[in-house]
Amino acid sequence: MTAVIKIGVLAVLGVLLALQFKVQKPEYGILIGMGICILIFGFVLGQLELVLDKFELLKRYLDGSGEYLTVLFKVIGIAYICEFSAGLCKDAGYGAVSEQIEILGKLSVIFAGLPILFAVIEQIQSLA
Amino acid sequence: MEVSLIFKIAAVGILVTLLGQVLKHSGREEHAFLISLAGLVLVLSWIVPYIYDLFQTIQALFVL
Repeated sequence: MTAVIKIGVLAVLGVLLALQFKVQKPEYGILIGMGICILIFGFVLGQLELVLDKFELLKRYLDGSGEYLTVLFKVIGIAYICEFSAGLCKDAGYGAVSEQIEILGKLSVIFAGLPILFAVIEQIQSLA
Repeated sequence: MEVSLIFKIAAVGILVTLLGQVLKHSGREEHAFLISLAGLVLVLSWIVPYIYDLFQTIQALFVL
């Protein structure tokens, strides 16, 4: 619980520090924002290792759906990268660029999910 | 990957702003521009490896 508080305080202080550069040198504000995002993700990585082990356990229970779980994990990765870069572009004030990145993210998620869709359709056809 | 990264960027930002103001008021506009460019390149050289590591880790972790 204290780690969450620590990260929250770090984020707020970092943003306040970045605000100092809002007027004269906006690019440093954005760079500080980027640094904070990377630091927080470094913390998230630590927690993600635990989730990964449970994930393997889950995969062993549902033995038939190995590749579907990996697709799920890939989609999470794609979503995170697009969210990270789109958020930074929005902070910098370039909404159009961040919209493009979000569209790219949506399309690549759909593309990653296609095999599952085909598997479902084949199942339905095999029944009917 | 410590909190010092943020403070280093802030320090470079403050220094560049100060030097830029001093140079600007002493009539050397182009030096002020070069100073801010140099500061930006310096901070980018710190941050870009971290971003590269971030995306590499994501790729490895999420089997992209």
